[in-house]
Amino acid sequence: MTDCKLYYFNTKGRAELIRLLYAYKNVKFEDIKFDDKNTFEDFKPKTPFGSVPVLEVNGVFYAQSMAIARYVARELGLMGCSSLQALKVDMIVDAISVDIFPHLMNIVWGATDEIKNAARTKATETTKKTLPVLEKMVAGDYFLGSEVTLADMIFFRFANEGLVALGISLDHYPKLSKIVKSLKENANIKKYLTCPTTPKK
Amino acid sequence: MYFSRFNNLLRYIFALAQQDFEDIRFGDELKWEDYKPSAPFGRMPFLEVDGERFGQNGSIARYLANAFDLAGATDLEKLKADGVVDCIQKDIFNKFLSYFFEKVDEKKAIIRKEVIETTLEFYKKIEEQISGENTFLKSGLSWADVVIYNFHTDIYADRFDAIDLTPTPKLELIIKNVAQNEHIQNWIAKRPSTSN
Repeated sequence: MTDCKLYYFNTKGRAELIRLLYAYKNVKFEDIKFDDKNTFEDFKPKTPFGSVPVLEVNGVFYAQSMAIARYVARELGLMGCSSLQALKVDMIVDAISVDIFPHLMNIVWGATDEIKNAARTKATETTKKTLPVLEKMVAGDYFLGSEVTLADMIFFRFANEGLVALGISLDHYPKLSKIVKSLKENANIKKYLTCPTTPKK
Repeated sequence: MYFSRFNNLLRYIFALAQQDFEDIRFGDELKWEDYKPSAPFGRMPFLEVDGERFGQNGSIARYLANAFDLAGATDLEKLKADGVVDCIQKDIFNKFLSYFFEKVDEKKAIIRKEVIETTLEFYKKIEEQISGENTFLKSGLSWADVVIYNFHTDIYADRFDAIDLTPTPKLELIIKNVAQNEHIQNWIAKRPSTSN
């Protein structure tokens, strides 16, 4: 696999999913986090669209967290084995990243309390409608069956932060719970999550 | 209603690829309520392939683009196309959504200006990313070009002040290239005239 450099803040945010993919497969990459010496403001002019995370591959910068996550997942063999499998992974990923994640972001970053509260309501409603749908889509130990894909990883992220923030439990969703438990117990993921350089927030 | 303009994207991709598809439109004769329970996420659009149903507009578009060789020639080109698609469908379109959902007139007027500024700002950034002569990707026409065309022509136009594309000549070429594509023109001429 080509050497890749990931640029982001020293937080989980929109980069953590990408970091988890590499960690799960135990593949090395340069995980560059902005600090006082190398700031985001310094880096911003180099980014394609003024935002991070950015992945640098062979000296070229690529943007958009989900585009990067899909690319890295594909490179690591975490997008299924056929285009229909990839479509299934993609739609599960979108159900979380497009339908729910923006509202989760607004709960924290919304400009007014009104916006924050509306975002919390929307995130909660959408999550409650989506969880039963996702539960039905789990084909085995993981969404596609026996193999982990990007769909499982994004759900793992969502369960650990989004669901916790919304106070929604997975008690009624045994298959989804199992995905989260299995990934939590995975040796590579455990190692990554307990590593001192892993961002706490 | 504007969401169905986004859905032109899937139909453009089929048209470009000259692929037949069953364009099932819900309305008076075919009731959405009857189909909603079997739509994967209870929403339109959804795609049916060999009896299996898949939801999520963006995912369907990516799948079709890959199936019809309109996704990019290499994995890195696909990453690049995905990036600009997300820039339009998330970064720019989010500003649109805040405009559409704003009820207070004074605030709406302010956001309206922001929509135009945001679009211009991103158009300039997209211009710098363009690697082809009249296509976003070096290898040729891709769904990235269709997304750009769909956004500029169907979603932005009619609702906001026209954008002067002189500062972004390559972007203008991309939009013209898709607009002048004979398969797109044929489909636009033939398509049913539902209100969007």
